[in-house]
Amino acid sequence: MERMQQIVGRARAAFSSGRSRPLRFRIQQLKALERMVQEKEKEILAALKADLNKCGPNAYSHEILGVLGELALTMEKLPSWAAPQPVKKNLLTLRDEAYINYEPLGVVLVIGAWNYPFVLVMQPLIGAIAAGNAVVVKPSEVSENTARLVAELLPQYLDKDLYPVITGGVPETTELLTQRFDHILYTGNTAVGKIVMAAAAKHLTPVTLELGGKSPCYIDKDCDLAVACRRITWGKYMNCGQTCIAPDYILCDPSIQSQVVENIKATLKEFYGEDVKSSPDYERIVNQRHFKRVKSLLEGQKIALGGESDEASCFIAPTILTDVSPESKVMEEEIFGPVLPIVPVKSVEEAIEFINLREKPLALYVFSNNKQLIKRVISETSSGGVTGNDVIMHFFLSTLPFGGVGHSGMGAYHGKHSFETFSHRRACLIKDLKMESTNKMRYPPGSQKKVDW
Amino acid sequence: NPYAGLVSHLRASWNSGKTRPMEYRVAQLEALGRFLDDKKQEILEATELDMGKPSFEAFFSEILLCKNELNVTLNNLSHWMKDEYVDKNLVMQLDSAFIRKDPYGVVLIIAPWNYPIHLFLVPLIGAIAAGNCAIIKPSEISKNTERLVAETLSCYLDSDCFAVVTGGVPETTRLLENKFDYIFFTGTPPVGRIIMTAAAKHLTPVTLELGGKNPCYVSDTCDVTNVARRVAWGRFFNAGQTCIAPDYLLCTIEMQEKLMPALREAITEFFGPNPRESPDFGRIVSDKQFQRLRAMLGSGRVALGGQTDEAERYIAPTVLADVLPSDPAMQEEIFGPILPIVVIANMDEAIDFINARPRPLAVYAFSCDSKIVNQVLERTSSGGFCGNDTLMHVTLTSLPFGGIGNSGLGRYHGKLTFDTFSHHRGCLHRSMGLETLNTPRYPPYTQQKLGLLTTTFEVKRRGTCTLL
Repeated sequence: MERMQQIVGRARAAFSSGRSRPLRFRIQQLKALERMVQEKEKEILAALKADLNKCGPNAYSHEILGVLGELALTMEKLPSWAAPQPVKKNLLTLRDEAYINYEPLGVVLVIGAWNYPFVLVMQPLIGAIAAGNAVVVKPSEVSENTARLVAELLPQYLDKDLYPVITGGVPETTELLTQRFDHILYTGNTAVGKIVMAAAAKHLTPVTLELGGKSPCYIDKDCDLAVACRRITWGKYMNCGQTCIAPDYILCDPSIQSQVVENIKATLKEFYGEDVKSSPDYERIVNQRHFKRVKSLLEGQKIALGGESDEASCFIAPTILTDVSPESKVMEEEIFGPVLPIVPVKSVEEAIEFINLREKPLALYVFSNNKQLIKRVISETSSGGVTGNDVIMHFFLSTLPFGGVGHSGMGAYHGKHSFETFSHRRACLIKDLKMESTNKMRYPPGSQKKVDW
Repeated sequence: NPYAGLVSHLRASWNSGKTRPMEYRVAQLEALGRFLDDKKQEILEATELDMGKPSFEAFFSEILLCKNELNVTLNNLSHWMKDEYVDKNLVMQLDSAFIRKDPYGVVLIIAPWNYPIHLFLVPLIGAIAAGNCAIIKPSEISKNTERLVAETLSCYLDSDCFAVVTGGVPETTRLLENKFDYIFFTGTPPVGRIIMTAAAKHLTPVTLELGGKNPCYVSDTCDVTNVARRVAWGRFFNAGQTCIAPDYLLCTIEMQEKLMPALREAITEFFGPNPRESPDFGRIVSDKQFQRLRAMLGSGRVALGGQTDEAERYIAPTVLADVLPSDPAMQEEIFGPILPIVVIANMDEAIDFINARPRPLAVYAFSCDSKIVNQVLERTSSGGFCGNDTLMHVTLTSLPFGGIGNSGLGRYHGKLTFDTFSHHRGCLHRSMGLETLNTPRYPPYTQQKLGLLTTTFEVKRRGTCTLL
């Protein structure tokens, strides 16, 4: 365990040396990361296949494309993001220099998750490097092939002392969290999020927590159901439902419930063919523990579609449950699997009330031809982010901050928001040592005359 | 849980949605303005009773600066509340992409005793402006101000949505058992840790405005008279009980020699030959703080001041020379009218000294040579920085006010207070049409589809050549 202290200590010493601060160095490291992703594409895809049974084009589009985009954007914009930002001055400071200086925080800890194991480590890393920090990377041990690959590759391309990778499970992470960091970005679940924040509190370390929740999806009667259901099918069953912003459950009028089922069924055939299990594009549950957990959610439910499973391969078919009761187990926790409950509601008011009775989710989805209705659902609820008339997509626009609220998290990142998350915005006021007469107003002895001026 | 009823009452008000319309927020903010106008005299009196705060200072920090924040907010609220539209990528050109500023819900503001009105009121302005309900917990140590706030604020603000809770540590601890949607705390680092730990149980985001020892480096090339005035002003304002006061001076032994008469002159100019009789010099807030400060007078040697009066809790504006890093005055934030001078050989040594210690709320550097000021700025880290003056960077509402590391997390003032109390919600509103454009993202996954996706999603670095 002393090893942990040494690694973090080395990162801190490396940061203190100042070498991660010049823009040229940061861009050089980002360029090296870009080379790594391009040169080791095959190995990265192989690791993702081994961990989650993701096929090439799928893994590439979900995990590599976004990373390359973020790298290009960051390298392009870094000089303008990092430039000191002058601010509006008042009468007293007109002759002074007043600006916000963007500075690195120091040593940052990035804890990744297993469901998108590459991108969820890389995207924060890109922002942290861009902001000039040293970064300790802790990939999830559950996606062990990707973790091992990241641990092998990063030292080959990046500065070894500034950006160490630490592998391991709960004991290692617990030990790691006793060290002092200057920011921690954690992606994972709510329960562990609390543990991370409590550990951070001991050192007054700011945190960004990307957690989860049950992201509701309201389908209005007035909408193109075929299109809506196709988009929902895509977002729900990608990565076998193991997506933090997947539409977790559907709220809709009972009269369209069976149509929704039929549309999704048709789309599933379109996506995965007659035999889902043999489609190369359908993933698997990450491990036995989660397989059992998701499977148990089906107990006592009305299965309108799917329900088949195979423990040996951690396969669970795309499943839809209808007439789900709000009190059932499947409506208690985030599903994180290919099971889609439909909870009938009679009106948009009922849907909004249903959503607001629960913890604030990471994402909220609403499908309707009625723009006003969409606006209403958004303004009467709270969530990390929103996509209207689609799912997932707000994640892919890096100008939008990506993060949660309440139990779904705190803080945000992506694009420039990552840079700002990992920077300290230092207020700077530089005055002249001359021009003392303007200061005399504020000095004692005080008098009513001065106050009135 | 003694506060459960109060919190759930506020939560019910929050759920009703009444704090959200702009008109409501403006009305509450204007009421706060009337509070400051109507109760100006009471505020000056209460703060004088609490810590001998000179009325000039009290007017400046508790009334004027607060009104500035109020006016900046009222002038800009509609603009700040608007959805912020963002640049879109190729795929989303026909969509609507914007950031909504959602209120959090029920927030808690915990204020300290040194600027007892300002340090709850300025956060409250942002909390109200952002559409939240709030519980205000003023400090029990500034008990006259606490009483004033508890008794009169409810006459101005909507008591369904805003409440004042009084009490000390036990009451605050019980209050923290409740779930809040944001906690804004100003105080010391040890209590900051307790607050954040309590917040972690509910995953409540926090802003912690803490403190530290703010170093003040004075180079050999400077106008000694002006430096002495500006440093003395910042140090002795509110009898030193200011989180951003210059805590200690770093300079060469020659500069220490030169500064001493200049500091003496500045102090005399400000407070007269006997500061105890000056209406412009404050007192220490409590016996406990007084004893703590008096114990520091043994550090180094008393070059200026040093007189104390326990009955009045008076400590004279004091400068200690030749203070060692191991002396009591260098072990904790001073928070009193004592200015230790630590002698160093040169700027590099000063910078190393600063960097060997926890990062402070402010770093100050004085020099006629702007390169030196910039070096200190660039080679240190702190919440904020002011070159050639003290305190002034926090009077500019366009600059973020906050700490780093031990001196805090988060920042506010001006628009940033509104931002602090808002959840920035990323929203993408797409059209139901043009479904064919989505085809590349759907299974079955093919290389061809991937090629299409790549072309539409990719961000290319300027200057890279793409030959299709």
